[in-house]
Amino acid sequence: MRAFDYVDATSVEDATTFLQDEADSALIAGGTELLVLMKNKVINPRLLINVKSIDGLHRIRADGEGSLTIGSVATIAELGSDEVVQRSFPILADAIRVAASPQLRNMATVGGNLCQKPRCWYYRGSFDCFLKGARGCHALNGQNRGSGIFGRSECYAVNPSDLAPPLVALGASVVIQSPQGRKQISLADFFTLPRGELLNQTILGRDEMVVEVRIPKQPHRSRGVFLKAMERKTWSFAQASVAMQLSRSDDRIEDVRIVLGAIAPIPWRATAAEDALRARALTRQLIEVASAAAVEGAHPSGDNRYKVTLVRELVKRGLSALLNT
Amino acid sequence: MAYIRKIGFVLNDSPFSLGVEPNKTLLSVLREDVGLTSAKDGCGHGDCGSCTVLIDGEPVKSCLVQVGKVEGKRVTTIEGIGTLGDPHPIQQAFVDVGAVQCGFCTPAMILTAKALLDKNPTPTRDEVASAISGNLCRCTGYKKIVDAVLHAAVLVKGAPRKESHAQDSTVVGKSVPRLGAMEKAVGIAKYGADLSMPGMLHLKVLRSPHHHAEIASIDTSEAEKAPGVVAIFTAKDIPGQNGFGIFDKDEPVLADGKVRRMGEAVALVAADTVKAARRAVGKIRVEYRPLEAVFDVSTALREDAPRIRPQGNVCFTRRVVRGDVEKGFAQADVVVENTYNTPLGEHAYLEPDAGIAYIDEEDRVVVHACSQSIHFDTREIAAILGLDVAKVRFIQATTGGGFGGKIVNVGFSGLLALAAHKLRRPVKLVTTRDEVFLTTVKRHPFEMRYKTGATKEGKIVACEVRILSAKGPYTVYANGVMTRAATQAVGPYDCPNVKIEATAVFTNGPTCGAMRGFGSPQVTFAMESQMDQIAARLGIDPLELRMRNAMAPGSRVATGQVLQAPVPFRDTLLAVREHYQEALAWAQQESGEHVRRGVGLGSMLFGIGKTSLNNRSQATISLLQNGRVLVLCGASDVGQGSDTVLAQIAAAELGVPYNSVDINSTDTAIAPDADYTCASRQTYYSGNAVRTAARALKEKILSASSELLGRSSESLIIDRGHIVVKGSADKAMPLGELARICAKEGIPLAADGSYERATTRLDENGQGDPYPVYVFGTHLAMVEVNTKSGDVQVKHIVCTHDVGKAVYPVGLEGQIEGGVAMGIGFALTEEYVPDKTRNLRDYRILRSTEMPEITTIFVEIPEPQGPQGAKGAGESSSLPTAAAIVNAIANATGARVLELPATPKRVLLATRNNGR
Repeated sequence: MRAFDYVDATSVEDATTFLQDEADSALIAGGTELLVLMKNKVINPRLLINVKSIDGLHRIRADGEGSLTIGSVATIAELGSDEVVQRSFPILADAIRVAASPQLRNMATVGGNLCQKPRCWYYRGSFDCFLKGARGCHALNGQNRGSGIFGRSECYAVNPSDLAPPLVALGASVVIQSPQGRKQISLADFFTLPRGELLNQTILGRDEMVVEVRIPKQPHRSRGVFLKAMERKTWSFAQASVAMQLSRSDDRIEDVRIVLGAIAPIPWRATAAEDALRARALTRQLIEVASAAAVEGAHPSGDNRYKVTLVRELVKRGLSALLNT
Repeated sequence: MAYIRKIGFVLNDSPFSLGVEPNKTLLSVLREDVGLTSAKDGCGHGDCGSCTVLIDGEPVKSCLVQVGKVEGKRVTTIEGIGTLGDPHPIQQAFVDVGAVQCGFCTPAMILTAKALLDKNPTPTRDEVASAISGNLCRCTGYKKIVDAVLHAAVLVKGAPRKESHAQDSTVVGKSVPRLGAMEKAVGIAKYGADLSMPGMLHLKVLRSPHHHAEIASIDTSEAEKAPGVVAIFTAKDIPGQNGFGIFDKDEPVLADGKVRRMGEAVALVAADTVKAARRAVGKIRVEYRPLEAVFDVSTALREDAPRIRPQGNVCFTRRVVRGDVEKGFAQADVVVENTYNTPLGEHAYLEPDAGIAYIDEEDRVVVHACSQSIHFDTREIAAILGLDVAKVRFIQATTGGGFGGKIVNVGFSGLLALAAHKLRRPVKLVTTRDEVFLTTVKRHPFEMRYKTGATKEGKIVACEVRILSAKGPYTVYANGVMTRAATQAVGPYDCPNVKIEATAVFTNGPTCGAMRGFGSPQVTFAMESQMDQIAARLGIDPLELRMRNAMAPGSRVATGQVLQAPVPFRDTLLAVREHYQEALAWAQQESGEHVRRGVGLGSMLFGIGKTSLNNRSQATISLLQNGRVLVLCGASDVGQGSDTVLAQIAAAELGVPYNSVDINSTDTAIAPDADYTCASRQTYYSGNAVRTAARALKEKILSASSELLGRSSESLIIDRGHIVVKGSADKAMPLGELARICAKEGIPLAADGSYERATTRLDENGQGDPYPVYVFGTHLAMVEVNTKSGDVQVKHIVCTHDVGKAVYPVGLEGQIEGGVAMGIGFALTEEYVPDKTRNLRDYRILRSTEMPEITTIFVEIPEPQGPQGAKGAGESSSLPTAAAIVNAIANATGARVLELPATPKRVLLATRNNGR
């Protein structure tokens, strides 16, 4: 790694001021993602701003009424072992159980996970690509087994976060802070397709940082499922994943969110599938309709065709699991 | 300019503070600044887990922890949990259960296990496997590691230790503590990267970015001016012969005028620091004139193909012809013909090649580094440096796995020697994981056309095989690999008519060399696939077909060699039979939507020792005045356990306690040549050398005691380290006392032993006796195939191996389990693709959570020539697994996979083509 300086931020204000003052800087929390990028010389910041040192920023707080606030530097392992998460948001706990390896979960943080860079071979290797400010995407006619089938933009790389789909399905929001102030936006809006001048999969600005993730209380009788398809049994990025959260009243589906992971540059809402389900009773027949709707409009580009089948199957399996609950 | 920051943390319960550059990882601070080397650098990218330490009790990968992160934290390394004299129960359990082989992953595994047990004192097997799923191991197949953690869980609660047998002398067949295992478990074993010397320089290598190019010029002037640079070497600086290799000295240490593969070493930089060396590498200007590169066999063999080597692109061909295949096929009722393909393979040993070199007090160039062929390396290095071989010394550092990849790895050790010799200063070279993947030899990829004929009674009557291999630009081991592949191409079956031709072809791909099995895993996959197709065509059960063709005493192998008893191949089939019947019943049971179950068999034979070559091993054993026995035998232990086996044989032959035997197998200045650790030969050859030396020493001991005690030597025996009069309970004299008296009297109590078995050169038809003895084995695979996704889950492997005698059963079992893991990888996941496969994330060796159940059955029919009846088992376990799995896939789905690895895509394609 190239030489850099390192400061311990004492507060979020402190951290964002450093970000603003030193253009060539980056936040470091767990470092499991940043250090790999730096070792591979994808990025070479001059200053690292440690945000793990910020008092209280790792705290996970339940308000006792069903919602949860997660400090952005809480580790993934801490989040996964949190009792409220296990009891009230099991899809999040399920996603954490199959995320990365035990050692990585002990270091990697929730905020870092949401801000992860894509795993695209070209982006990580010594290639110029759209995300690095060049034109075009090598994956289009190259290695595209891992590329997206939805949300095509100028970059085909998928968002690799295992936590994003369940958090979006739970209706989570993020609190972002910059020297200009704080704002809370829905997590779904936090992610964006990289295009034009935006060489990123999130809207996070240069001097902004993710401070908190908030999960709202789920409706009564809300149930969820998280499924992740991997090429290996453990410790693998998703080929595709699905997080769904669904609530019913008198057997009719009231509220439903189906979020697909690793198939688009952002966590992808399967809105057509949701529409097919809403206000209806969940039946085998409806599941067929909804899982077919989930892949409507998919545009695979070569070696990633299998993802279409995979997504349909995952949605079908997920909904089937909810059939008798 | 780097900043220095002060950081403070609690290291192994003591407060610690130091100034560090912030761009360091916790791993590099621990290893370089603190001087604790137990956390290993296996990949630098969080893929292997060998760098795991605990932060506030939780395991983390220290190669991905920026050092500032530990401010104020509690950091625990393996040094903090136990010592050699007072090990932690988990460390004890790892040693007692046999979970330590090369040891490179061991400290990290133990720390990960500790964190688990601290939280969950009674974990299940699955919970243990899941907890260690971020830690790779290439030797053990993880089974013994999980066993050890479970055993530790009861040890922590105060359960008694397993019986160690350390004080016994009748230790052959007993699971003694592995020599060096506790040193590895407590983190004091020194691997190449852990070594250092005052005033040491650091080396980095400039490597070719081209597959094939002429070097027009090399300009080192800028690089030489770079800060910290001491010297830069290129081909012109090599004093002796710029070439090494076993069959042909055709591989340059540093490229001379031309590069023929990507990653070939072009220049070597020596500098004060690693960083300075790395920077200087970037400042060397090389002008290349790219040439057309060739990667596949058919292009390379074309008339107009670019010549990779002056003699043409055919590297070596081995023909093995016996009987008349045309006549054989005329008798056949069925003929099965297929073309099989296997990929390039990477050893993926966890320790990247590393070591130091220096000039010793006798003016010798000493290389202290990983190796599995120390004596051969000294000869190669001497030739490179233009020195007498007596002026070169190799000391093998603790070696983190080899699997063939660290044999004659002079492309690495030669650079160390060159720099030390030229500069007369200590130097260190540590390769990165990327360099290992880019530069080390690979398993030969095989294209195999098989035509096999059988009568309707199921008798194999003819087999015609054509093997082609794109082997990269240098010979290395090609002659050996092609010969072994050809001689073993028809497996353990008595086939009267064979015509086999195996050709290695020069290409500009990765250089291929030795890798566990040496050409035989490839042909075993093909031949065993043929067997199952013949069985299906004839409606004969696959086990029965193997029984009908099984070699027996008097059978001839493809080279015409007549097998002498015992030939326990049938015994391995019989040993698996009951499991096979149960497995067939299991396959009939309901298995879920889109999931089909299948059962498959794979069998093999493997000749012990290097094919038709000199295999001599030598040993010297002395009785020392402290009563201990010192075995000197240069048989490199790279984790497979030869030190332990040789010490056991010495203890048993001499009648001394196992724990009174020491061995030096690492230093060419001390330990006599025992040839390479390859061809599963150390137990057999070096074991016999040790046995011979031990018997000679025993005679000397008894004759000296007979004089001292005034009794006939026939009336004396050695019992547990004492001279004892036969039939009397009294211990006449401790061996130490005898040694002291003999020393005064000037009677030497040392003896040499050597062992060689005549093999014959193969004639132009490949006929002759290439191996002294063969081993046999059969694997049974139970798999579940998802017909929708093509995913194959291996549920259980039952393996039966003819081993002669299991000298060190727990070690052997662990080695077999590791071989099975490698075999599953070969079958399903491992494929090296040049330019694409760069590290342990891309190259998929199995993880703990991916291991099936393994049942190991030893078939122990003593080999009359073997030491204590033993043969050899290093490679055999990785041969038949892939065949068994592929046959099981076919059994489940009807789909015949002809190309490895059997990825989901290939399985689906095969299902579409010929599935049911």
